[in-house]
Amino acid sequence: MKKKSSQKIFKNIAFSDIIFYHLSLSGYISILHRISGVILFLLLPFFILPEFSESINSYQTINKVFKQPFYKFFFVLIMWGYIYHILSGIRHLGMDMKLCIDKNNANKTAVLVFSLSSILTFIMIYKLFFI
Amino acid sequence: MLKKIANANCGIMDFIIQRTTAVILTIYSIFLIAMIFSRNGFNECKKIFTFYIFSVPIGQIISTLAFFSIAVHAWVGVRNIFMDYVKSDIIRMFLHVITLFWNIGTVIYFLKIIWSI
Repeated sequence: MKKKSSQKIFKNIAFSDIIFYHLSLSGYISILHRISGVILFLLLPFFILPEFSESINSYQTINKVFKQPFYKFFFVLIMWGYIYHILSGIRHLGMDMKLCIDKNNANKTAVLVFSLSSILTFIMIYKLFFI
Repeated sequence: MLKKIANANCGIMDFIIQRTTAVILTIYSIFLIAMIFSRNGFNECKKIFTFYIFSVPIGQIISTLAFFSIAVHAWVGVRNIFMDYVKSDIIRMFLHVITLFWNIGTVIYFLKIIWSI
């Protein structure tokens, strides 16, 4: 069967198109929810250090570990991922219960999630690096 | 035949599991934040964790249950990601095995730290 040149061939969206695709605010929240979940899963053993165990007596060693810049970078990633994932997860559960599913209300909750997570992450970074 | 093995069978049980573990984990997070704010120790979180939560048996049990919930929640989420983006069945099953090892390995690591094994 000969294909006509005017016939459109429908393919799945290419990766180069997806990167520059225009997403709404809710779309960015959704994909960042997935990305923060992957980040938390990959950094899962860094939640707790062996210094937290009871057999190591002093907690002075924990302070020394937290002062190293290597662990501070992981801690910032874990903090952002955790805060963002929880807040957008609460929004997701609210959408499951049909809370704010029309366009304007969903935009409002999306703005709320982004602003709250940024504020809380900046507070944690300030506490971690400057105090 | 691999199509019947490496997919989610019906999806409803995993949906419910993800939602309930999410609620359990938010309650656990609120518990941790309440412990930090009640002792007024925002600057000494590590002391609160070692001495007040991880050395008391009730705190150890609650934390262990929370880590089990993290493992189950993470497994359902990552399996959904693989189902969305990886089309070949054999590669997907291989990735399932690797993520299960990582998952259960970190749970064993947590148990070893908290229960001082």
